[in-house]
Amino acid sequence: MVAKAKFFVFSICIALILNGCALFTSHYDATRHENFTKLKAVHVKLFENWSEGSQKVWNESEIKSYCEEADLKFREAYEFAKSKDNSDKTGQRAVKILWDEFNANYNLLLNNKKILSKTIKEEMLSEIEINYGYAISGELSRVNAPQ
Amino acid sequence: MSTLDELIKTTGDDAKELIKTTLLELIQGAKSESESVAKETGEKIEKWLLLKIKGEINSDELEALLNSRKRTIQQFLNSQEISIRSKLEKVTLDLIDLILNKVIGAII
Repeated sequence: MVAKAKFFVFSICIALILNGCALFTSHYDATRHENFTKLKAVHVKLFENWSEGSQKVWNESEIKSYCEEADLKFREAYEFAKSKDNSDKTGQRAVKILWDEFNANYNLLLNNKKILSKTIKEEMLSEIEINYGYAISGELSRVNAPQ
Repeated sequence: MSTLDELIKTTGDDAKELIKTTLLELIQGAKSESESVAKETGEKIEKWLLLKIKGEINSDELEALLNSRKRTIQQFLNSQEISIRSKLEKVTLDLIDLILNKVIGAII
Protein backbone atom coordinates (compact mmCIF):
# COMPACT_ATOMS: atom_id res chain seq x y z
CA MET A 1 0.00 0.00 0.00
CA VAL A 2 2.83 2.39 0.90
CA ALA A 3 4.72 1.47 -2.28
CA LYS A 4 1.62 2.12 -4.40
CA ALA A 5 1.17 5.52 -2.75
CA LYS A 6 4.83 6.37 -3.43
CA PHE A 7 4.44 5.35 -7.06
CA PHE A 8 1.28 7.45 -7.39
CA VAL A 9 2.98 10.55 -5.95
CA PHE A 10 6.05 9.96 -8.17
CA SER A 11 3.87 9.68 -11.29
CA ILE A 12 1.99 12.86 -10.44
CA CYS A 13 5.29 14.73 -9.98
CA ILE A 14 6.59 13.53 -13.34
CA ALA A 15 3.32 14.50 -15.06
CA LEU A 16 3.48 17.95 -13.51
CA ILE A 17 7.09 18.40 -14.58
CA LEU A 18 6.33 17.36 -18.17
CA ASN A 19 3.15 19.42 -18.52
CA GLY A 20 4.62 22.51 -17.00
CA CYS A 21 7.99 22.22 -18.67
CA ALA A 22 8.54 24.97 -21.23
CA LEU A 23 11.99 23.66 -21.99
CA PHE A 24 10.90 21.28 -24.72
CA THR A 25 10.20 22.18 -28.34
CA SER A 26 7.72 20.99 -30.94
CA HIS A 27 8.45 17.69 -32.64
CA TYR A 28 9.59 17.19 -36.24
CA ASP A 29 7.02 18.13 -38.87
CA ALA A 30 7.39 16.89 -42.46
CA THR A 31 5.38 19.80 -43.91
CA ARG A 32 7.51 22.39 -42.10
CA HIS A 33 10.60 20.61 -43.46
CA GLU A 34 9.15 20.59 -46.98
CA ASN A 35 8.29 24.29 -46.68
CA PHE A 36 11.95 25.13 -46.05
CA THR A 37 13.05 23.35 -49.23
CA LYS A 38 10.29 24.98 -51.31
CA LEU A 39 11.05 28.46 -49.97
CA LYS A 40 14.74 27.94 -50.68
CA ALA A 41 13.96 27.20 -54.34
CA VAL A 42 11.82 30.37 -54.60
CA HIS A 43 14.56 32.42 -52.89
CA VAL A 44 17.42 31.12 -55.05
CA LYS A 45 15.37 31.70 -58.22
CA LEU A 46 15.12 35.42 -57.39
CA PHE A 47 18.91 35.67 -57.81
CA GLU A 48 19.09 33.36 -60.79
CA ASN A 49 16.40 35.34 -62.61
CA TRP A 50 17.80 38.83 -62.06
CA SER A 51 21.59 38.66 -62.03
CA GLU A 52 24.35 38.65 -64.66
CA GLY A 53 24.23 35.55 -66.80
CA SER A 54 20.45 35.30 -66.67
CA GLN A 55 18.24 35.45 -69.78
CA LYS A 56 16.02 38.01 -68.04
CA VAL A 57 16.45 41.79 -68.25
CA TRP A 58 15.60 44.43 -65.61
CA ASN A 59 11.83 44.68 -65.33
CA GLU A 60 10.54 46.23 -62.12
CA SER A 61 6.92 45.13 -62.48
CA GLU A 62 7.99 41.55 -63.22
CA ILE A 63 10.26 41.54 -60.13
CA LYS A 64 7.47 42.96 -57.96
CA SER A 65 5.02 40.39 -59.24
CA TYR A 66 7.48 37.54 -58.53
CA CYS A 67 8.17 38.84 -55.01
CA GLU A 68 4.48 39.32 -54.18
CA GLU A 69 3.84 35.66 -55.03
CA ALA A 70 6.88 34.63 -53.02
CA ASP A 71 5.76 36.77 -50.08
CA LEU A 72 2.48 34.84 -49.94
CA LYS A 73 4.42 31.55 -49.83
CA PHE A 74 6.54 32.82 -46.93
CA ARG A 75 3.38 34.03 -45.15
CA GLU A 76 1.71 30.62 -45.55
CA ALA A 77 4.81 28.81 -44.25
CA TYR A 78 5.02 31.22 -41.31
CA GLU A 79 1.39 30.71 -40.33
CA PHE A 80 1.79 26.94 -40.64
CA ALA A 81 4.89 26.96 -38.42
CA LYS A 82 3.10 29.22 -35.92
CA SER A 83 0.18 26.78 -35.72
CA LYS A 84 2.55 23.93 -34.80
CA ASP A 85 4.86 25.77 -32.42
CA ASN A 86 5.36 25.28 -28.72
CA SER A 87 5.87 28.34 -26.52
CA ASP A 88 9.55 28.55 -27.56
CA LYS A 89 8.42 29.66 -31.09
CA THR A 90 11.51 28.18 -32.75
CA GLY A 91 9.56 27.02 -35.81
CA GLN A 92 8.03 30.37 -36.68
CA ARG A 93 11.30 32.14 -35.86
CA ALA A 94 13.17 29.99 -38.39
CA VAL A 95 10.69 30.94 -41.15
CA LYS A 96 10.62 34.61 -40.11
CA ILE A 97 14.42 34.90 -40.41
CA LEU A 98 14.24 33.52 -43.97
CA TRP A 99 11.28 35.75 -44.81
CA ASP A 100 13.17 38.85 -43.57
CA GLU A 101 16.16 37.78 -45.66
CA PHE A 102 14.00 37.47 -48.77
CA ASN A 103 12.48 40.92 -48.24
CA ALA A 104 15.94 42.44 -47.72
CA ASN A 105 17.18 40.81 -50.94
CA TYR A 106 14.11 42.06 -52.80
CA ASN A 107 14.77 45.62 -51.56
CA LEU A 108 18.43 45.38 -52.58
CA LEU A 109 17.38 44.38 -56.09
CA LEU A 110 14.75 47.14 -56.33
CA ASN A 111 17.15 49.83 -55.07
CA ASN A 112 19.84 48.60 -57.48
CA LYS A 113 17.60 49.47 -60.47
CA LYS A 114 19.47 46.90 -62.58
CA ILE A 115 20.21 43.19 -62.44
CA LEU A 116 22.75 42.15 -59.79
CA SER A 117 26.42 41.53 -60.54
CA LYS A 118 27.86 38.02 -60.60
CA THR A 119 29.94 38.82 -57.48
CA ILE A 120 27.03 39.91 -55.28
CA LYS A 121 24.91 37.03 -56.58
CA GLU A 122 27.57 34.47 -55.56
CA GLU A 123 28.14 36.01 -52.13
CA MET A 124 24.40 36.30 -51.41
CA LEU A 125 23.65 32.78 -52.62
CA SER A 126 26.39 31.43 -50.35
CA GLU A 127 24.74 33.13 -47.34
CA ILE A 128 21.28 31.93 -48.34
CA GLU A 129 22.53 28.36 -48.75
CA ILE A 130 24.03 28.41 -45.23
CA ASN A 131 20.93 30.05 -43.72
CA TYR A 132 18.52 27.45 -45.16
CA GLY A 133 21.01 24.75 -44.18
CA TYR A 134 20.74 25.79 -40.53
CA ALA A 135 16.93 26.00 -40.74
CA ILE A 136 16.74 22.48 -42.17
CA SER A 137 19.30 21.01 -39.76
CA GLY A 138 17.31 22.56 -36.89
CA GLU A 139 14.16 20.82 -38.12
CA LEU A 140 16.04 17.53 -38.49
CA SER A 141 17.32 17.73 -34.91
CA ARG A 142 13.77 17.69 -33.48
CA VAL A 143 12.30 14.67 -31.71
CA ASN A 144 10.87 12.07 -34.15
CA ALA A 145 12.85 13.42 -37.13
CA PRO A 146 13.75 10.79 -39.75
CA GLN A 147 17.23 9.36 -39.18
CA MET B 1 44.86 39.38 -43.36
CA SER B 2 47.98 41.09 -44.64
CA THR B 3 46.32 41.97 -47.96
CA LEU B 4 43.33 43.54 -46.24
CA ASP B 5 45.62 45.24 -43.75
CA GLU B 6 47.69 46.81 -46.51
CA LEU B 7 44.65 47.87 -48.52
CA ILE B 8 42.91 49.44 -45.53
CA LYS B 9 46.03 51.34 -44.51
CA THR B 10 46.22 52.96 -47.92
CA THR B 11 42.61 54.16 -47.99
CA GLY B 12 42.35 56.90 -45.36
CA ASP B 13 44.05 59.39 -43.07
CA ASP B 14 45.67 58.84 -39.67
CA ALA B 15 42.53 59.89 -37.77
CA LYS B 16 40.89 56.63 -38.84
CA GLU B 17 43.81 54.53 -37.70
CA LEU B 18 42.23 53.52 -34.40
CA ILE B 19 39.03 52.34 -36.12
CA LYS B 20 41.06 50.40 -38.66
CA THR B 21 43.18 48.76 -35.98
CA THR B 22 40.13 47.80 -33.95
CA LEU B 23 38.42 46.41 -37.04
CA LEU B 24 41.44 44.32 -37.97
CA GLU B 25 41.70 43.01 -34.40
CA LEU B 26 38.02 42.07 -34.34
CA ILE B 27 38.26 40.24 -37.68
CA GLN B 28 41.41 38.45 -36.56
CA GLY B 29 39.73 37.54 -33.24
CA ALA B 30 36.66 36.10 -35.00
CA LYS B 31 38.84 34.11 -37.42
CA SER B 32 40.78 32.52 -34.58
CA GLU B 33 37.61 31.39 -32.73
CA SER B 34 37.15 27.64 -32.44
CA GLU B 35 33.40 27.97 -33.14
CA SER B 36 33.11 27.49 -36.91
CA VAL B 37 30.36 30.09 -37.38
CA ALA B 38 32.52 32.81 -35.76
CA LYS B 39 35.55 31.79 -37.85
CA GLU B 40 33.43 31.76 -41.01
CA THR B 41 32.03 35.23 -40.14
CA GLY B 42 35.53 36.68 -39.73
CA GLU B 43 36.64 35.21 -43.07
CA LYS B 44 33.54 36.41 -44.90
CA ILE B 45 33.71 39.96 -43.52
CA GLU B 46 37.37 40.16 -44.51
CA LYS B 47 36.50 39.00 -48.04
CA TRP B 48 33.58 41.45 -48.38
CA LEU B 49 35.68 44.39 -47.21
CA LEU B 50 38.26 43.49 -49.81
CA LEU B 51 35.57 43.34 -52.51
CA LYS B 52 34.32 46.78 -51.43
CA ILE B 53 37.82 48.30 -51.40
CA LYS B 54 38.47 46.87 -54.88
CA GLY B 55 35.15 48.31 -56.10
CA GLU B 56 33.62 44.93 -56.93
CA ILE B 57 30.63 45.63 -54.66
CA ASN B 58 29.11 48.96 -53.58
CA SER B 59 28.22 50.23 -50.08
CA ASP B 60 24.58 49.07 -50.31
CA GLU B 61 25.72 45.58 -51.29
CA LEU B 62 28.26 45.43 -48.45
CA GLU B 63 25.55 46.49 -45.99
CA ALA B 64 23.17 43.89 -47.44
CA LEU B 65 25.81 41.16 -47.03
CA LEU B 66 26.54 42.13 -43.43
CA ASN B 67 22.83 42.13 -42.54
CA SER B 68 22.46 38.82 -44.32
CA ARG B 69 25.27 37.37 -42.17
CA LYS B 70 23.48 38.66 -39.07
CA ARG B 71 20.36 36.71 -40.06
CA THR B 72 22.43 33.60 -40.79
CA ILE B 73 23.84 33.77 -37.26
CA GLN B 74 20.31 34.23 -35.86
CA GLN B 75 19.29 31.09 -37.75
CA PHE B 76 22.32 29.23 -36.41
CA LEU B 77 21.39 30.19 -32.83
CA ASN B 78 17.76 29.17 -33.40
CA SER B 79 18.85 25.77 -34.74
CA GLN B 80 21.13 25.32 -31.71
CA GLU B 81 18.19 26.09 -29.40
CA ILE B 82 16.02 23.49 -31.18
CA SER B 83 18.80 20.92 -30.92
CA ILE B 84 19.39 21.52 -27.19
CA ARG B 85 15.66 21.46 -26.32
CA SER B 86 15.17 18.24 -28.33
CA LYS B 87 18.16 16.53 -26.69
CA LEU B 88 16.86 17.57 -23.28
CA GLU B 89 13.47 16.06 -24.07
CA LYS B 90 14.99 12.79 -25.31
CA VAL B 91 17.28 12.45 -22.28
CA THR B 92 14.50 13.31 -19.82
CA LEU B 93 11.98 10.91 -21.34
CA ASP B 94 14.56 8.11 -21.58
CA LEU B 95 15.38 8.65 -17.91
CA ILE B 96 11.71 8.53 -16.90
CA ASP B 97 11.15 5.40 -19.00
CA LEU B 98 14.13 3.78 -17.32
CA ILE B 99 12.81 4.58 -13.85
CA LEU B 100 9.24 3.50 -14.67
CA ASN B 101 10.22 0.28 -16.42
CA LYS B 102 13.27 -0.90 -14.47
CA VAL B 103 14.07 0.95 -11.26
CA ILE B 104 10.59 1.07 -9.71
CA GLY B 105 9.98 -2.57 -10.61
CA ALA B 106 13.23 -3.56 -8.94
CA ILE B 107 12.58 -1.48 -5.80
CA ILE B 108 8.92 -2.42 -5.38
